Amino acid sequence: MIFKLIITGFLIFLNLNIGLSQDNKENKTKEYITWGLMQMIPSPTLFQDTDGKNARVQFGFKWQIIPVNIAFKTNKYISNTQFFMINPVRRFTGSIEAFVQPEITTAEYKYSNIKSFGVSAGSRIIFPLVEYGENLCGSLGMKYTFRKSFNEVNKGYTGLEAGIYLFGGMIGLQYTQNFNSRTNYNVSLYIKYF
Amino acid sequence: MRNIVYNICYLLFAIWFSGCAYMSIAFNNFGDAIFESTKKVENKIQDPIKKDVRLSALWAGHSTMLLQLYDKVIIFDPYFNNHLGGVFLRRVETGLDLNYLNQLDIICVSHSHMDHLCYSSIGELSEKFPKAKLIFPYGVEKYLPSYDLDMIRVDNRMASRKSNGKPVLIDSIKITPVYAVHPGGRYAVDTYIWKVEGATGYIVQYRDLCIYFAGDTGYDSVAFKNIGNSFNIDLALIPVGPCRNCDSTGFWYHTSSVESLELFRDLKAKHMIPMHYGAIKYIKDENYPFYVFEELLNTTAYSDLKSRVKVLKVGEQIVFDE
Repeated sequence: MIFKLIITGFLIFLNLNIGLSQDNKENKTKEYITWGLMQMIPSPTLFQDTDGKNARVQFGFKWQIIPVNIAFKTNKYISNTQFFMINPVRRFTGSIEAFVQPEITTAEYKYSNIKSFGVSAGSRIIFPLVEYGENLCGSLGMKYTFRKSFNEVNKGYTGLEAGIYLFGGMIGLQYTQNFNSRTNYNVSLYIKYF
Repeated sequence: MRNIVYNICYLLFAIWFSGCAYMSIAFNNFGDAIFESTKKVENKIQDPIKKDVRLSALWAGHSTMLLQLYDKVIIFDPYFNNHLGGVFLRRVETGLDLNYLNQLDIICVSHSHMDHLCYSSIGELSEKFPKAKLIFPYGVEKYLPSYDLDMIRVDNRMASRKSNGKPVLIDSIKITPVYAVHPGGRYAVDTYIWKVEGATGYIVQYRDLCIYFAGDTGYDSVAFKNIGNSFNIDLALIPVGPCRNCDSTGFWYHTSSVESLELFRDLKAKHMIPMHYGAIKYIKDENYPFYVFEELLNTTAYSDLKSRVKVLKVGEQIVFDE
């Protein structure tokens, strides 16, 4: 019910915004608020949960935070370096970025003896594939995931990540191969707006 | 799990029901993009650039116009792809064959929306005409990659309902950005919520010629009367639609069929070429705004404009002798 109220309220706000105004004044406050709200939209993810003998897939979420992105193909009027709010055009036309991904599973790991919450940090390179990357772009990256076991021992692990994205790099699929026998891979539906 | 699926369905339905333009376009186009194909344009013009021409205009479809003003060649809002955003089908292919184009001096982009700023189309032009100049207004630079062209940002920030932007002189061609009632941005929220700046119309003056290219714009009588009083326009390139009820007024970001005629009247231009219909199905049939436009032209209210409106087919070129 709360979800529906939020959505309905947001849509009313959105339509009022279109309907009542003809001027084109940029509104930075509104920009930061809506951007912040949209960063809360998680990327649904499937995590592997195994102890070597038993295995299953655990559903969860990741959030996509990009503290810094450096673009390769910017024009002379704009900076090639962006922080947090990342213009997709500069990103998908070719760039390198540092990222942070808080991640959580909807239930505890059953076999892996690791906690449901973790944080990954790493860097990836984004390269254009079709229409300068807007219709299709790809990424390759490396990351380290901080995750504790139930007895509070750090069970962090490194991983390689590959992704393919549509719609200006805002929706895509990400696959991570971890160098960890207890959660060997995860697959995400990548969602991030700016 | 069932709740998540239920809520996602609700979200999609709510967005669609709320009239979100992007969702409407998506629902209207997605199936067609898979099961239909773009209609071919036969017999494309093989000599778009001619000798001893004072003024010619070739409509390449949608808002893409190729103009020859004496010895200068300008293209507006080049968009040659058969899909929009990689997904939505273009109904009729571009009417311009680049193999036959042997000169291009200026590329003008009015704003950053996908049907007006096409990365690969500008890329093709930049490879073939590396000495051409790429002109765009403030705000569009955020949505442009780097091209091997001379990229020139024109200052449209002073363009308002009662004043025009700062003109630039490029190869003896004077280009003035003028007011357009349209948002910038490219990815929905940046357009409608953030209201990112970056949309303009253009006045192009060369020798004795004056051309107006509207880009995309809503209707504002004060603004267009101001443009009409400021310039003696020979040819106005004016969008028709998209619109839901095209014989009525009150659209915010696009001119309905009736508003495009009112806009033409306000400008006091000698000729008008309608554009921005026939390629993409926005709300109703992609040609619906034009059908209403034609009907209106046959009414007594607009009969005085009829002889001055030059309707082109996609790929057709008109040469103005006078």
